[in-house]
Amino acid sequence: MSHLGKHKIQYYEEGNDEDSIPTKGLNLLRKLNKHNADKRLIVILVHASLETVKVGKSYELLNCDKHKSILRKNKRDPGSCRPDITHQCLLMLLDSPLNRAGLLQVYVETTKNVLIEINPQTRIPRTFDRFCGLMVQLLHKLSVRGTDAPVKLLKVIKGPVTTHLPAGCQCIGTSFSADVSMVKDIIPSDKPIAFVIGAMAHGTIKEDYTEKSISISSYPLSAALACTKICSAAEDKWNII
Amino acid sequence: MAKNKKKGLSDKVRKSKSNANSAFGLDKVKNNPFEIKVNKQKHNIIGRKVKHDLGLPGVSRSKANKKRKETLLQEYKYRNKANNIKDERFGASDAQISLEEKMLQRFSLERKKKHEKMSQFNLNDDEELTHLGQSLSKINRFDDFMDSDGDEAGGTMSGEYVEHAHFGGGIFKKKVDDPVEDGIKSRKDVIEEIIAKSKKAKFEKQATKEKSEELRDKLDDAWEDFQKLIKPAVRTSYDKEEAREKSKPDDYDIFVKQMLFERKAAPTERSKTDEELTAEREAKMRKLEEERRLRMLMDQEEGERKPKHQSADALDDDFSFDKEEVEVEPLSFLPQDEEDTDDEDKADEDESKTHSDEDVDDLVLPEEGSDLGDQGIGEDGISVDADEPEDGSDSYSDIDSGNEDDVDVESLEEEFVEKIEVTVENPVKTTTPSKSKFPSSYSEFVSLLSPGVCPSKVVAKLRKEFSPGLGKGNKAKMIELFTYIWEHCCIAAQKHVPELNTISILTSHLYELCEMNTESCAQCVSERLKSLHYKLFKAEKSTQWPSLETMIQFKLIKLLFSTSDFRHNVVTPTLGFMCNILNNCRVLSLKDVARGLFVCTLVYEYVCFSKRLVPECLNFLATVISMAIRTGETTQPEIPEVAMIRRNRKNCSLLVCKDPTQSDVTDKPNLTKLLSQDYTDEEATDEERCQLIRTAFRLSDKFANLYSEVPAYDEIFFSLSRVCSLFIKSNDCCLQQHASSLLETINLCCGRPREPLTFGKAKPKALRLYDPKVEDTVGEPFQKRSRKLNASKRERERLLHKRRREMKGAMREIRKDSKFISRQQQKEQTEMDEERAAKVKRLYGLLSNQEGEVKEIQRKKYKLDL
Repeated sequence: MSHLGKHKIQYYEEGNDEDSIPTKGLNLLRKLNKHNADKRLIVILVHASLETVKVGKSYELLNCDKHKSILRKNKRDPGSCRPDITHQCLLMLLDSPLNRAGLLQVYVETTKNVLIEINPQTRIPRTFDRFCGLMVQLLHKLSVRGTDAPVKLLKVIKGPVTTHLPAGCQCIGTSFSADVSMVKDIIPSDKPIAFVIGAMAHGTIKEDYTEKSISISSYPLSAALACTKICSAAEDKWNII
Repeated sequence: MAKNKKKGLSDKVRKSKSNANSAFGLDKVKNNPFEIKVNKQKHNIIGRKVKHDLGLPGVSRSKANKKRKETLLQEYKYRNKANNIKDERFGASDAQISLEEKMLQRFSLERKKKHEKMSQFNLNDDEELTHLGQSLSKINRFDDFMDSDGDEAGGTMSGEYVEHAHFGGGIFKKKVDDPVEDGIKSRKDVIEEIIAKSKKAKFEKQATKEKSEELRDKLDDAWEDFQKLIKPAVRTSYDKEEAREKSKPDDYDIFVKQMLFERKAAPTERSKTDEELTAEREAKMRKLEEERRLRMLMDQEEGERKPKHQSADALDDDFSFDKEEVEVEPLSFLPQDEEDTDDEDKADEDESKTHSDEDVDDLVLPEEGSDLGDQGIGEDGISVDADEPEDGSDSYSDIDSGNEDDVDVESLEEEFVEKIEVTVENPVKTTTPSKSKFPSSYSEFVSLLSPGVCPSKVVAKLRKEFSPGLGKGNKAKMIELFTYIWEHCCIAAQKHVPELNTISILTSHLYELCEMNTESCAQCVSERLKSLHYKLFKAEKSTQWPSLETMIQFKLIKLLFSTSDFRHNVVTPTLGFMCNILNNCRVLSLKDVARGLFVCTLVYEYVCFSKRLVPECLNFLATVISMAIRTGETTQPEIPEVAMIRRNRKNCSLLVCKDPTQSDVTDKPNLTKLLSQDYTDEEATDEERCQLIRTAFRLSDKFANLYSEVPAYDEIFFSLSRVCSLFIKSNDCCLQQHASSLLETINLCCGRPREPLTFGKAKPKALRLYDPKVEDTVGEPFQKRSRKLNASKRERERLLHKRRREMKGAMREIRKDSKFISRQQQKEQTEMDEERAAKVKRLYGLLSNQEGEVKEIQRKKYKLDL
């Protein structure tokens, strides 16, 4: 195990020249190891509607705007197919300073029970179409590599997500119906914490591994906004400017 | 309507199908949930049609069983048989056709067969007609022309004969016509006659044919001779060439054509108005100035070139609206030189935003006061040179008279254009022959410059005759000309009385030539510089000041190239050279001081835009001023270190005025006199000393202004200010006011608060982001990642995979077959066993019956016995 890890590290360092970031990045990445009990934020996006659909000969990401007739034919609720929510959430999460500081880990769980681990070094495509293409690729090939890095950026992993959380990690669900509490107060100063956020348009999350549910605002928030709020709270708490 | 029809049709088909299915009970089976096996799909993708999502295991099993029964079981049954009966009647194995139909078909087949048998006795069926042993169908009727000709000859009889013999009633008619001969001529005779006639006709025809053939042969023979006569009608390639040569246009034709196609009046562009012209000029100027500024700053950031920042919202492709411009020109001053000399001046005038008015004054002042370089010399040159060239003298007099601003290339250009016009207008007047040879060496060039002719005219003529557009190799000649002119300038400067106006006349040519071939000219100049440097520092290892020639070259470089570039192939080494001179050459006489000040002035001109710090200059100026400090025998003033280094007993009071009450001087020092070879310190006057000191103050003042933004100002100007204050203390002559003004300038910028040094703010290292690699998702989901193999390998893999699957399927089938066989065997065995058991049972029955009967009998016997 350790040998393997070392090997991997060497390879990684070779792959990146001039910048001193990679080694630093590696250190940052090490923080996200499952066995690391340092402070970090883990965000689990659940009920993400990432599903492929075959249109003609090509596969696309099921999208309520694009595939209305298909949804109607299959008697599916158009409101249930909203990959754009996931896209926005991922953009917000992975662009956050918290992520750039290496203190954020993101998992995505789809309605079809596919668990996706997202490498913090991933640059999420900015446009929705590109994102859809990438997700289709991920769902079909089960992993996506970086263009110039020998790492897997997106990976379909084996569930349940609890096996990937560090031991003793507090896991908190978010719900509008729960009691409002300040996120800043909940985030511990030196321990990892996981938040479960629903990346869907309607409904509530009922994950059995959450300790409790909180509401981070007394107003209804979009998933992406909830992500940013939690991220910025963690940044405040951990002095990441 | 059509749609309905179509629908109806498809419905019908479906119905019939379902009927057929129902006939087999398939429909029923399909709807039976206990018959259906649903194959669970791991990944359900909407829109994907899957073949094997439902299975009917019972149906498929029975189907397979049935098939085995038909094939395998039959084989099994006949496994030990050598023969078997094969029913080959029509439709024997086809269960689809009904029996009646089969019978009907068989009957018709039988009838057909019978008919065929009968037909073999028909004789005339496929006979082939022949002629001359050849099939008629195969004869090509038109292939033998001669033959048909002969046929015609033989076949057609003369009209007369035909008339008489055939349709005219034959011989009977003749009887009627010729009653006289009737009796004499018998039928045989008539026929003979006819034969003879026809033979004769035939012979005649033959004869004429032969004759004509003979003639034809003759003509053929004669043709060859005749052909030669009419040969020219046929063109060979040689002829063509000849003809082409002949028809080549002569000069006259060419001229006519040329005149025909000559542009008689070219449509001229609309002449621009003055405002447009000025606007254009300004735009160009602005552009050039901007480019110059960029060049000035270009390399300063080179060392710390950062990786290009990528915006967080940027798309991850390579497209960008503004590509980073990468300048790779080895000499980036190519087109701009033109402006570089004058835009500096222009900038002085225009850019009052950056420089205050005062500044402009400062820049102009030196030219009036202390710019020894040109003006002093120039003035002198004019006054000394009696035989100035006629034209250009007045135009250059303003240059010479000192204002460097007027050494505008622009004005030079204008002048030059004028001159060219003059030369064009009266070409007869020029002494050089109309088709002169290009001088192959400098001496030849000099020989062209006869004393009465203005060198500028000669050069202009040469440039006109050998302008690069006119012929090959002229470009090289222009470069040569550049070197000649340069050499000429140098030699003019070397003369006892330097011919400075010659140099200034030639400068415009130098400038334009340099503009044409900047790179090569820059190379020439740098070669020259190298040799000069070597001569001065390496070869002689002297501390002698360079001659005026060298300094003139510095000045020329300043005029030709852009001095504000951060790095320039010619200017940068030149500046280094000058610094070397200032640093290394020892000051022993007033002449040296004058030279040093001249070099300082040049340096100032070099750096006045880039504001590059040249400490050598400042140190030299401090030294010069320190030489003017009057020192008492006992009290040695604390002269700063930089000045002390160059001070020695000989020069420590070189510039101290003998007469302390020397009145102020206003004019600049006479450089020509000071630099002339036979000038010695003995003949130096106080006035000259004052002039030199004043120049030094002026220069220092200018430098103090120039470097006002340098952070280390205090330290840099410490020695100068110290020397100044010492000068003020020791002297009380007229120059005090200059010194105090310099001191004021320095003090103005001194003592500004400086920002404390801090470490650069270290930004936290951010995790580097990678773009995900997007591949085409054309293939089916969850397929193996296709490794990049070559085509043959991929094909091999594919086949191997197929083979493996087929192998598996075949093995499964074989297993099922053997199972089937064993089941069959089992069945047979049980049947046999059952049969045997039945038989045994029957036998037992018989036997028991028998036994019973026996026993009955015995019992009866017993009873009887009883």
